Amino acid sequence: MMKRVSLLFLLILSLAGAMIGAGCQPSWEFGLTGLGGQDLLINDQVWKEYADFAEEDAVPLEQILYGMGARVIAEIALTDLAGVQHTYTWEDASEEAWVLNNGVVMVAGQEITPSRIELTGSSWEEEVEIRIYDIAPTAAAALGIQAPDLSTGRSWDVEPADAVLLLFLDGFGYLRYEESLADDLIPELAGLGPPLLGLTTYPPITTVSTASLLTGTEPGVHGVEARGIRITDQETLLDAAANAGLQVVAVEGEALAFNLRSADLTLSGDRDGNGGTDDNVLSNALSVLEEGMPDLFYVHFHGIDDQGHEVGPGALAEEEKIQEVDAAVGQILDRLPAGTLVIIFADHGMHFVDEDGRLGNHGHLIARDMLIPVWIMRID
Amino acid sequence: MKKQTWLALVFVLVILLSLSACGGGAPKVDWDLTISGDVDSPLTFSYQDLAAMDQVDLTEILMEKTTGEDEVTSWSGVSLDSLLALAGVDDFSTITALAEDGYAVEMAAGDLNNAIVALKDGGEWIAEVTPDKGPIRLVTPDTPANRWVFQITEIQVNQ
Repeated sequence: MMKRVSLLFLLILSLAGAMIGAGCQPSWEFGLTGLGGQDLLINDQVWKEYADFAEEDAVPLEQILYGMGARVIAEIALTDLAGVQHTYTWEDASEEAWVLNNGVVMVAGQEITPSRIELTGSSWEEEVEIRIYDIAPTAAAALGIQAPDLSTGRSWDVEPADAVLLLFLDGFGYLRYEESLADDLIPELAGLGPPLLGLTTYPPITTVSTASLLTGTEPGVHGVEARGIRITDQETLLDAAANAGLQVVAVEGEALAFNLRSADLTLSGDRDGNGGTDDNVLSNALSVLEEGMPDLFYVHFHGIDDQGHEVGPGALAEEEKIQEVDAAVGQILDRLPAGTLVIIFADHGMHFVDEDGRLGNHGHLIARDMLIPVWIMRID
Repeated sequence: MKKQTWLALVFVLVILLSLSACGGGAPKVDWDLTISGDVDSPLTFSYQDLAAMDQVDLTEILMEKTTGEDEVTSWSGVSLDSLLALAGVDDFSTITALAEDGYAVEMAAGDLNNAIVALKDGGEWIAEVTPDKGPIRLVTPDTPANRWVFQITEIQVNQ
């Protein structure tokens, strides 16, 4: 009898141990290399951390790669279980690259069960000088106020200023800046000298980038991690300035890309019916300046992004919009009082696509989307 | 039962039926929509006011989304034109639609054809099926859906 009980006990113990062991062992995993020399693992436990981003049990591969430290990817190589390597440029593959919950990676129409993924970062990444998170603490330092509560950005070395202008050129990525410079499209911006090479956040879309811009934090902190979320609970630069008793004014396009709580807001709909709103933004911005430069002034031109989506980067209508916005920048800078710190920046870039209804888009860890120009200058 | 009693009961029944018909069984929602700006008379409509007004149907219109696949959807609500007419507006260049959380959109008059302040989505009260997208929502069929301001509290008219 005792022997039977002991055997049964051992059997139950073995089964329990096997079950616990199975629970601890990942059901699948593959290696990830190329991020700062580290050897990392992606497995089912990692996948679960990103499950909130899943669509039909598929997580965007980029979402995981960004979380593990990737910023601007040039190339990706997947080695499958048979040892065959599949290599893709990220510009081509990033539109459709998913990790399924069984460890299969779908990329560029192929299903691969990888043993290892090797990333090659863009050579641009090493040259990045400023991140979009750095803008809020830099503006705060110039105004002599505290940076937003949770800001992790680095304040650029600036002198105290009487006022700060944040001039937001939606969708005007760094590579498009360089092309526009070469094509003599931007005499006003060219006259400011070369911008800093900046890095935006992921996904590089306006809501997420603006939240990072204004809070000085990563999406995981401010909570705006995708399209459709239009507000953050975290303190923004605008909140910090208003709480410090400063006058905060914002001139936006026809729609708020992101809620600008704490700002005295003017929208710029197409009141003249000419089909664009950047002329209305300029007009409203100049009206504000006629009344006197606010302590913190935020002006957002949307047209380059709008045209980029519609006709694609490099098309004539997009080039004309770049020229229009460049001229508007010149008009605004001409009317700023001495002692103003000006920060001109983009939120993301744009790459060519061929989709229904659009020829340009953004949202990936590629140089065209992630790199942004940032000018920091003082009016004296 | 006396004849007067029967008549009184019928009268009460008719009144109750009439009241229930007003708003078509709309849920009780504490929400106001204000029409302001360049208007003859600023007006505020309660949710019940809106539910009791003539309802317009937008059937199988394209909902052009910024995320995910576009959808074909149907909405019911009060025509924007009728609300503006009640406020004495006959000409304007744009409106600014403001949401409770501070979101705002300024839209040109030319983008507002057949626009409604919707109370129902697919025949269901927005307040009941998707309260975070309601209880009322501006639906403008000529624009992408990111201009369809939900939780709308105010419409400012701009000349």
